Amino acid sequence: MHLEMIAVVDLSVILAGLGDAFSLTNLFFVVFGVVVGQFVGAVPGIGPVMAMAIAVPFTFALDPLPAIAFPVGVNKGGLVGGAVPAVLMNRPGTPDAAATALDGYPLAKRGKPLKASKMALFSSVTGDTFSDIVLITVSAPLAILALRMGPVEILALMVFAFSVLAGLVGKSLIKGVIAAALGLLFASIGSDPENYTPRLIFGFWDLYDGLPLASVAIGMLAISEILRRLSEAHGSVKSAIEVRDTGDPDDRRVTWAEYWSCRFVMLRGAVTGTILGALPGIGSTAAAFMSYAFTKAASKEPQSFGKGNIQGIAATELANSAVVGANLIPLLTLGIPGSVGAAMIISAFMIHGMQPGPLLFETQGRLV
Amino acid sequence: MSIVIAVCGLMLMLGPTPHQPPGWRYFLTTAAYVCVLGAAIYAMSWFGFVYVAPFFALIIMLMIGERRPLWLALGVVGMPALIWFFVTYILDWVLP
Repeated sequence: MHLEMIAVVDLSVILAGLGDAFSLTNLFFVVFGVVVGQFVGAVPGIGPVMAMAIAVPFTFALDPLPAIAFPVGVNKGGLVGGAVPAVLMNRPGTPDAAATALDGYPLAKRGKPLKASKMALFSSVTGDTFSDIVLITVSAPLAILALRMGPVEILALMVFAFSVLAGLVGKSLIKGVIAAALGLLFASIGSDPENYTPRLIFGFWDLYDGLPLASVAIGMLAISEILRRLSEAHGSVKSAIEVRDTGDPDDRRVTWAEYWSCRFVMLRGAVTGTILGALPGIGSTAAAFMSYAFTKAASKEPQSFGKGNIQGIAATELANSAVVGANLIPLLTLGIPGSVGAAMIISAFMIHGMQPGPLLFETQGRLV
Repeated sequence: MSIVIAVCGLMLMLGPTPHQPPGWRYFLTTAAYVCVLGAAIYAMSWFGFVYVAPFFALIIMLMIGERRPLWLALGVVGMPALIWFFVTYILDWVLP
């Protein structure tokens, strides 16, 4: 291992890299990537990963820095975009935003969709900035910690995640156990990652890669929403999305007092997201739900969660965005992609003849 | 896992609950929606997305209670056309 090389990055190299990062061309591709990411993230079933898969081959024609900045922008924008349908339609654009719908949609139904969307955006930006600062400053020690996490530690962490999620069960423990068992059962469908033998596919080879996330999200959230609306429709005219205007300008924005009231929630979500993001394979969805459960458990008003509590939106969006920045820690330091999105970014590196890993800091310190 | 689900389901069924089951109207509308959904998927495999999606969208919108002509037109023509264009030309996938 060449981990000791990671820490040896000259300050002048960092400053030169920052200069490159703020060049007009690079900023254009970052903004373009974020816009594309927000669009595809907001369209359920497409997602930023697919957009990155389509975009990465085109980065061949670009310089290395914008070629990597563009898919990173798509990835980050996609996470924010996923919250838009979660808030407006109870239908997350990406799996990461599923927890956002828990409080975002109720808040939108109370006539505050802009407040919910803006809180999701501000939280995402805060979480992403936090994890980026961590990435720049302490990626080396975090990478060493991540490297020491073996299968046993990862399993222990997932068991811990399950025990934390027990806080989300609500009043009925039995229903919670059923939900967890159903989740495990559905997650078992597909190929066994150890031996690549098919599991629970019953001859349907389309299920070899597991249940498609878009289909699961549609089934869980969209179909249930359609059924709810059908049960409430008695021949009356109803809009597909009902958002009433309260007339209060404060309901259209996030006040500084509201943002500041979420500071501990944000700190907790940022730390949760950054730590889980630095560990390959756990993912932003688990981070979002864990952060939500932590916040609900720590709240003085846990009963207000699920009914449009702005802290619930902050907790989930902050954690899932913090994961994206932290996902780059194992990628840049060890060459291990922390998520599918990070694996796509590896492709962008490799197209330009660079191998992500410990030596990248030495050979491409300015770019990193 | 399935045994855990079955045992928990049994406990829920036998245990006392303050929950009131929904009325027959809810079951009827749900059954009607499932039938329409199944029929639409079956019809798509025969006639294709382009011909079936507008009718499916119209029926669902009417069932939900939408009656405004502009929204109906958008749902029946605009949305399937947008999906068709996006999936066929942007994503280069094949619709049924």
